[in-house]
Amino acid sequence: MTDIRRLVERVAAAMGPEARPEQVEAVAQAVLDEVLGDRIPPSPPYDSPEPGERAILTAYGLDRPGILAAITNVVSEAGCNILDVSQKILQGYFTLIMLTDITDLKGTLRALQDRLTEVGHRMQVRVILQHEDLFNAMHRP
Amino acid sequence: MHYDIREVIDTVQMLEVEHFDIRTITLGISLRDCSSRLPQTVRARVYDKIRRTAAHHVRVTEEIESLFGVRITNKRIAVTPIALVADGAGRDVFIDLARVLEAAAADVGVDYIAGFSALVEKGMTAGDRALIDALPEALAGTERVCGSVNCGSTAAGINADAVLAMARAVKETARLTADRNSIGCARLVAFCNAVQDNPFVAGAFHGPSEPEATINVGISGPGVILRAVNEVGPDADFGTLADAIKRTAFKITRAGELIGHRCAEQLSRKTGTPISFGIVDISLAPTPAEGDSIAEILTAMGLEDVGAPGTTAALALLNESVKKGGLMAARYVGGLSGAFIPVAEDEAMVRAALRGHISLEKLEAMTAICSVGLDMIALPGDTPVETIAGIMLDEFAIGMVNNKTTSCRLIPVAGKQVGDVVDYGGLLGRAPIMPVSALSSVPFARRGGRLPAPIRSLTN
Repeated sequence: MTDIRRLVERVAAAMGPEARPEQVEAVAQAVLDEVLGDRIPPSPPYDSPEPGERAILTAYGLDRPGILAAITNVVSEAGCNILDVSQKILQGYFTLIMLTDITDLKGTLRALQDRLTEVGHRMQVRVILQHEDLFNAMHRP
Repeated sequence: MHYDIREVIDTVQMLEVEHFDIRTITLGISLRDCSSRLPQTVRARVYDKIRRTAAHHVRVTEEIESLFGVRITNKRIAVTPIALVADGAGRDVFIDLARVLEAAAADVGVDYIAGFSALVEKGMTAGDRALIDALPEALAGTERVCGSVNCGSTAAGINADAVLAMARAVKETARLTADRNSIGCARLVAFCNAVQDNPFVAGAFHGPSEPEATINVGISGPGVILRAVNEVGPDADFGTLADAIKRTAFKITRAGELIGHRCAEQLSRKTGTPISFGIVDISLAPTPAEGDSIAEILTAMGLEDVGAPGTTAALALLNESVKKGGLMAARYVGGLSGAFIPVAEDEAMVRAALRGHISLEKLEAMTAICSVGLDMIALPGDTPVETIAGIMLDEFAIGMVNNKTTSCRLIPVAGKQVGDVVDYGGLLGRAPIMPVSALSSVPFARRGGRLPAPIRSLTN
């Protein structure tokens, strides 16, 4: 709060009786930049799951050999344990649903999602990784 | 498998195919502690408080977005009605405060900041008047600031002086933003029975009885509801149809509840101050995207187009079913909580307007049983102030007598007439200029004073 007081005092001191809004703005902006700095500090991404947290991976697209292997590879490399897999071919379309334990996730969830998207591009399938809480909320009220 | 494969596919299909999204995560910030006799103190306090409270808003929201794979379309801020924060200030101070809000919003990276507002259903203070006078210039000089004025309520009646002042503000805003098809009017709303915790822009503000800071969530899923309606087929009776909509609304509201709760939790952690999770607004908000339309839901129920006889009843069924399903899914429901029926923003509604199937009068009838009111409706640029005031008075009479929120977001597009279509792009979409009655309302709109509160306000 001392920052604010200092700011207000500085701005007020700079104001003559003939003050124009643009002047006020310029002074306040200059002081604020000085006091607060120009950048908002970054916040850490989601990278520390609690024990037992799980995510559901869904992949779908045209069927071709090696999709499951490629996806499993990326998931395992990220330190996630695969708990359950269900794969179906429906009218030539490949559909995969995988339940993974993310307790020991290496790096951030975002990084894993990016890698999976990359594999998806290569194999021409869409890959989505979502925290299981969403499915709990929607289907297990 | 711990989950039924169909449940997983159901959720993924909503997100991938049916445009299901969280339409807005709105951080409400109280600016009640920013008041001061000195305008420069107010502006410094306002700027600082928004910046401090909302510093992590966008980043946290993006993080939650990726955690659950649910798109959060808009990150917004709502603040205490500025007329309360700087009451007593003159027009120029308010215009300056709009610039401060814009700067703070730009700094923290939100799409919109709403709450350049006044609550004048019973009467106006000098500050309220100054804010309304400042509205056109404030909106024309900013990109993100949204203004709203509550002109009536069931308890107080309708402040006709404020309505006329707002009609003037709408026309003046249209003139000042004429070079951009009067887009300033898309950020200006006049209300009756405005709510204190609405997360949806442009009418959002952080009500005076709200806590220090709170997260309110607006869900949206017309595409998801459309699938539910199509799945029951054309022969299902109304009970079956209502049930299908209820079940679907329940699911999407649960997602909104989860995401809002997580956002508030994370934001509290990062800012070091408690930020509560307020409400889920169970509205259905369309976008111009194909299949993300309220009008399409109504036609899927068996109408040739919106505007056909039965449209109002179809909307009532939709609205009530969404409420019933959503209410069960969230701890606290609030905001506007009803289907939105904007014209621009809903491509199927735009097409119906272009074909002449839907008129201002039919839309007015529809607003009697759903949320929001006459929303994003483009009018001829030469529509008289008193005609706009008359439209507002009609809309507010519906709200006042039925004890519900109604509003007007009208765009008298400078230099345009019936037959023209303006394109705002993005979430706002196209807007066909709609015909307006040529009959005069001049003496009526200029009477001034206050329409007395209805009988139903006397409940004690």
